[in-house]
Amino acid sequence: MMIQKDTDCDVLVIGAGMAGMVASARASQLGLKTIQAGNSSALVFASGLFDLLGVFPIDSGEILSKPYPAIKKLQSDQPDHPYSKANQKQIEDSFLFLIEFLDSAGLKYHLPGTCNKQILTSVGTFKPTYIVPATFLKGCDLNKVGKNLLIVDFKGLRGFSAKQAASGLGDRKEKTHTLSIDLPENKGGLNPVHLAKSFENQEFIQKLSDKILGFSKKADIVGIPAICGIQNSFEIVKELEEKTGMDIFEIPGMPPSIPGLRLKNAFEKKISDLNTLFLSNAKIVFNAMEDDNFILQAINDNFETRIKAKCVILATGRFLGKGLFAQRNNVVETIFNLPIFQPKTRDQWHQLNFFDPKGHQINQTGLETDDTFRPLDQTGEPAFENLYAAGSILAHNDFARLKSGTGVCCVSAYLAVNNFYKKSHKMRNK
Amino acid sequence: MIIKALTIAISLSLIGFLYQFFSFIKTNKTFDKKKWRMKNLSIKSFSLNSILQTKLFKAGKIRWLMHLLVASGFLYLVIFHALDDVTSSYWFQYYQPTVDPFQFLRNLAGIFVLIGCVGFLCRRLFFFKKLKKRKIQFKGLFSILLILSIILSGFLLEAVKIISEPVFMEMVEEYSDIDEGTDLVDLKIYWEKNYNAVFNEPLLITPEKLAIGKELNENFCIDCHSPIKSAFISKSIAKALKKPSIWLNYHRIDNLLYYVHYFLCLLIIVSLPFSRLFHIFLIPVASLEKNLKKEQLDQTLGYINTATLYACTNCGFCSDVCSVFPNFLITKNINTLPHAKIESFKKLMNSAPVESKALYMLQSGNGECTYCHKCTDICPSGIDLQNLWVLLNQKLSLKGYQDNYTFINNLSLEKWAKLAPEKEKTSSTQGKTTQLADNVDSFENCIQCTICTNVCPVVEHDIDGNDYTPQQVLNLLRLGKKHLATGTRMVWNCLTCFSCQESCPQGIKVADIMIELRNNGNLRADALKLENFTKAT
Repeated sequence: MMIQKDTDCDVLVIGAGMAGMVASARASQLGLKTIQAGNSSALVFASGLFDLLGVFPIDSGEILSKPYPAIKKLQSDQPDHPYSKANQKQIEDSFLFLIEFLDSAGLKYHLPGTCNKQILTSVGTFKPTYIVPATFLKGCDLNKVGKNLLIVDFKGLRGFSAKQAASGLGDRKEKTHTLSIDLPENKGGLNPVHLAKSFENQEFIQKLSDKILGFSKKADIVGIPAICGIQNSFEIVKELEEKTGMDIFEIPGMPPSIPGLRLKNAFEKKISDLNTLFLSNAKIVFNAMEDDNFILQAINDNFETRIKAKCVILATGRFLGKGLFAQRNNVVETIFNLPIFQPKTRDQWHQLNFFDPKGHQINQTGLETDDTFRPLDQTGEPAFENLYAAGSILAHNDFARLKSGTGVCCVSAYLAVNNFYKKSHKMRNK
Repeated sequence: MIIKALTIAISLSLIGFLYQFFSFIKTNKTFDKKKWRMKNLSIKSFSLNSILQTKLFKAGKIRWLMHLLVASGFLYLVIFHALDDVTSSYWFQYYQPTVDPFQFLRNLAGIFVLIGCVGFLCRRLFFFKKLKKRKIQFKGLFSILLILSIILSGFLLEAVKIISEPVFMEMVEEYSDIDEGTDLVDLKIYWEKNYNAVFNEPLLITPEKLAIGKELNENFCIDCHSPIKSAFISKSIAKALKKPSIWLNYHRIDNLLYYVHYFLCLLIIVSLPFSRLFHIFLIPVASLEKNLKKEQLDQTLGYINTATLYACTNCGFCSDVCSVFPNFLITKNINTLPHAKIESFKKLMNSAPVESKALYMLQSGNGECTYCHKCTDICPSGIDLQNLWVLLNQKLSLKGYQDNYTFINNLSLEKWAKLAPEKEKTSSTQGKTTQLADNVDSFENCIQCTICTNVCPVVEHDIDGNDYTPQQVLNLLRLGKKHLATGTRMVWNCLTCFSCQESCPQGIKVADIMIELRNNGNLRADALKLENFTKAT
């Protein structure tokens, strides 16, 4: 039985990743009637860290400690890059908006500054990032903190080893200890989500803090894989600190990532509180334009919704998110069939060396837009009056190499919504 | 001769009772160490169900009424009519079968039984289609027809006696001093008019003769003969038999009918322990045992009293309410339905060898049971059916007949994969069916991100109980090992909560694939088991 219904809205956000979430958060906060459509997104793979710009130029191999001067240089070097369509104030505003929005949903991050942080990862490397969750904060810039460290892991938890994480700390003067906790009830292997749930159990916390207390004389600060609860991680870490009397921080690790799950939950909760309709697992089909309105269909196994939208924010992502689809010879955009900036032939997609410092051409693929993030058609003009694109679908943006994933998503989504809002208000005022 | 026949019949019946009793004792079985205890008896349900048939009342009001008519009418006839030499004539000084109220009550009881029996037959007729659909056989037909013919022969006997001239003459000779002559004619006239007797000679009715006849009647007959109107059924039959009466009287059909009636009664005595009528004794036995409640199934004593199995009257009410009746419509395995299962159970309890395919069918039918308790609730015989199904399951698994879950769980995955048909092993079914697991598009997008495993409540509950996690099952498909995946514990433990499917970032129908794999495994386990059992025989 197919349920059919009609609905209309100011903004239809397609995609439920970082960019889609920021866009619908901003739109619903501005009081626009918003509908969001998306699959169960790849947000659960997100590390929870918010990058702005970690490396520049792409082949410099140098880790940036101050992102804003580098962004200035990037803007002048690459006028096509999404950052070139924003100024420093706008970038700061968009991050501030993101942090405040998540804070209102109960997920704490620290306020943005001007410097990048160096954060220890589960594989023992340091990664430059801009903003980290509050539970990660004490683990940043460990080399500057003169404290003895304890890293804890759990036997059977795949993808996290205390010894491996500690291997990156060989240069420190202070000592690093490791502790491997064996949970007898879990012989067959641990899964991060299940382990994170057990952190919400008082008995478990007590047992864990007892084990950590054994190191109270040797260490002052404790790193735990990022699995300290799903719902109220901040309180759980605080409780652990109170019980042990030591500083505790989380270490980001392998997917599925609990900080990513926390992000997803926080966004979903707050966005639905703002009365935004979420159509899950719906395939979006663009039908036609009708008096400057988009007519689209959201098709699911059970329902078929006809949506009339004034504005569409395209945040469908790249290949994993299925916003782009790689055919045998070229890459296409899946909903509006917009022209894609891409290498001319397939053999230019990848370099011969997987770790080529210049990165692969295929990662520059995406939509080219005007200054207000509207995708362009063949002639170089905006394809639709009120179609905006945000996030990783934007071209000239090798976010994995530049360590700028969240930044691009957050800035482009925030500004795209702002641009539409400003334009529609101007129209109304006229 | 009559006494001799009666003695023989009663002895035969007693031997039958003893035979049945000992065969029940012999086949009574205990599977568990738990012992049968006194407190498992329920006097309340025993008395309510044996006397008032309360469970039958719950099951169907009309049927209860019909049953009550037969039971009460027949009981009356047995006690006050058949055994009148030792009961009625002993209790009541003035007793004669032709005296009111006995004459009236006999007719009333007869008509009760008659209505009930016809009701039984009508139920079969009216619900023929419905009963046929459920494959309920009409097993009590012999007993119903026997009772019916006893009652009909009784009515006929009474009617033939009413019209009989020879009987009249015998009575006159024995109980009066009237000789041949006008007095006899007057009495005949009175009897022809008032008692429906039919005489060969033409009689001229005048008021004077009637008055004399009435006087004679009062002198000699009225003490033993109440007015004929109270025998309301026989009187009507007698009226109808007026025409052939001369023939009937000449051939002394009354004597013949008497022997027929008597013989039928002997037949019912002999057949009692072997016919459906045995339920009169077995239902109280079955009702005496306390029925286990739905949530008490684990407290089963593991004890089967075979007598309770035979208390089943095959009425089919249980199959009427059975929750898995739709399953029967699909599998066509009659052993899915309780009324058929109990018949198979009987065969199983008699140690006669049962074909292994029949046992396999019994196991697979019984395996469908959801233990919803509806059959026990409705069973008019008060049999603890649901407990029986639990025990049947135990008994069958002791014999090596297991449900598919246990069967697969007991096989190692290597062996399961080895036993797969050749065409599955080479994954040549790929792309040839509409099944998800046979179409690479449905699972090739899996990126092994473990989200499905992380949200899986089965994995969370007991990580050691599962050999493969959901994402590993999908990987088996990607490796072309569907024949292995169908036997994994994950597939068989899946709750089908759909968490995995809802969370999959690649939109893979994980839960749908799990269900499909389990169905595939189920079919293969069925085939394997069947193959093993046919090999064994």
